[in-house]
Amino acid sequence: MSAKHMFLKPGFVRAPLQNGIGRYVCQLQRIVLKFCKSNGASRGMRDFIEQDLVDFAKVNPGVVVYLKPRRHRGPVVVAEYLNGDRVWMSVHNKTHAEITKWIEVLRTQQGNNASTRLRKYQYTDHPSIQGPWTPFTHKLPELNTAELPNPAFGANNRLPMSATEQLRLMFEAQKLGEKSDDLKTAE
Amino acid sequence: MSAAKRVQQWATFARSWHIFDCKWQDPYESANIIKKYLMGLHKPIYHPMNDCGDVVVAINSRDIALRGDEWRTRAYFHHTGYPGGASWTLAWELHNKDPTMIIKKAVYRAMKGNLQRRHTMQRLFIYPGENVPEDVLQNVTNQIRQIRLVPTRLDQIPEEVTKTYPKVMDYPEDYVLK
Amino acid sequence: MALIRAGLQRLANVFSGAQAGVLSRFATHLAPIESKSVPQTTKDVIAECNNLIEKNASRNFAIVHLLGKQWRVTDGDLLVIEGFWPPTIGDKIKLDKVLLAGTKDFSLIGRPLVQPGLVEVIATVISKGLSHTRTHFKKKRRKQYMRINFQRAPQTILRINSVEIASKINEAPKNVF
Repeated sequence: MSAKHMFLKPGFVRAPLQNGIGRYVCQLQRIVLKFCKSNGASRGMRDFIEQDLVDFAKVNPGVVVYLKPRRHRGPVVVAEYLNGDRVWMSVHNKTHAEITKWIEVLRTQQGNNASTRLRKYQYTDHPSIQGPWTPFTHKLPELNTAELPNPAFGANNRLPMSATEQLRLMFEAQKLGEKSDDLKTAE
Repeated sequence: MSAAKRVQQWATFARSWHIFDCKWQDPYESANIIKKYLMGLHKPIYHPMNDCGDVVVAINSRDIALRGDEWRTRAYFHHTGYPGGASWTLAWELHNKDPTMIIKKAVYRAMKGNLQRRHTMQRLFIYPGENVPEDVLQNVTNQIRQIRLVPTRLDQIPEEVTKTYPKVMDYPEDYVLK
Repeated sequence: MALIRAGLQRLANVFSGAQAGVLSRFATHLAPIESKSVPQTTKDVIAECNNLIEKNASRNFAIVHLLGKQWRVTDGDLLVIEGFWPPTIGDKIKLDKVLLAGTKDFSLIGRPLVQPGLVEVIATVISKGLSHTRTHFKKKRRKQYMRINFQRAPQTILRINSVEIASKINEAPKNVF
């Protein structure tokens, strides 16, 4: 338990060397597996080396794999990345399955992710394409010349029509119909 | 920063001035709308740490409308801090003393009580009538829409209009109007 | 006020009604100008947009829906997606749920998605790792209650390779799914 990550370096999302724009380059360059041949803490590591390491090296020809047996020391994985990051991880008493998973994480990440707290989860070189917002975006052009306060701009224009108003309009329409009939007959 | 960028920055973060007509409006409903403009909540660039609030000029605060008999029942509490220093002022008394006070308190209470609230309130101008100083009025570029329609009183409608207004029925001749 | 307005409106109506009555013989000449112009405008706008798409005049952007979040993407963007997501490093994927696409001059708004196959957003997965360690610390004072949890969420970094408006507007939909 510690407050270490309260003082984590904050950072922004970046990809080294425009990775992924043209082609994709695996960022893991070198992985060193340090273990002891006799100690029980390295048991999982030894299983991994016996069963999966050759396949791992075959599948990832771009990754240099080193094995470093050493006596009476705990098992450790050290991964080095294209951007210069070095990740040291103790795999003391980890099982074969756990080590497989952790090595997969080390292989697929692009550097030492744990060392920075991301402040934004998106990065763009073009924050706006149709132009940034200003207070006058999508404003009525009539407001430029209008003299305010003006009830035409201040009154609520989203109220439903009242029943009285509806009746009145019906009445007007009826009256107009009579009148236009009159006009037609006059013609 | 290039000149064009600087202008862009200035345009996006410029404070605009809005006018709001309080005539016949419920101050507590209007406060929720005025608050949004004062705090900048109506802008797509809003962020709590971004100083993007606008200025609001509220006019006709003398003509606000309270619901029901709230003029008589709503009390504003104040305590001087001394024993026996509590006082309750009814809404109509407060409104008679200062016609801008009810809307001011309504907006103040509509906002969350944080350190920013008093600074945000500085951007609210309230005028009891329609007389707004010229230097304030010439900054105004937008009007905030009211919530309710302002009703027209019958004695303010010209007589000929009332006479020609369509009638549903006529009173019978022997009907006694009370 | 409403009454005065109503009165004025009625007067105006009477005049316009009278005009229609007087000019009824010309009505056939007068009416079509207005009724024709609207669809013509729509056609012109769509033609102009298609023209712009063909010329590829400006940078495109799109709003895509991805794992419950909406992202505004354009060419070369980086996105960080949190949570379990199967695609692995080096995978090229097409983001199909496009809610809106646009260029400098026009926007295509989906209801809720734009026509499938109209907009193509291609992305590459460039990294799959874990986030920094997040501490979840809870404590209640004077209640002998304290919990602490540490958590690292899986993070996938995506590079947007291209946002393209692949076909013309109002073209028959291709069967892309």
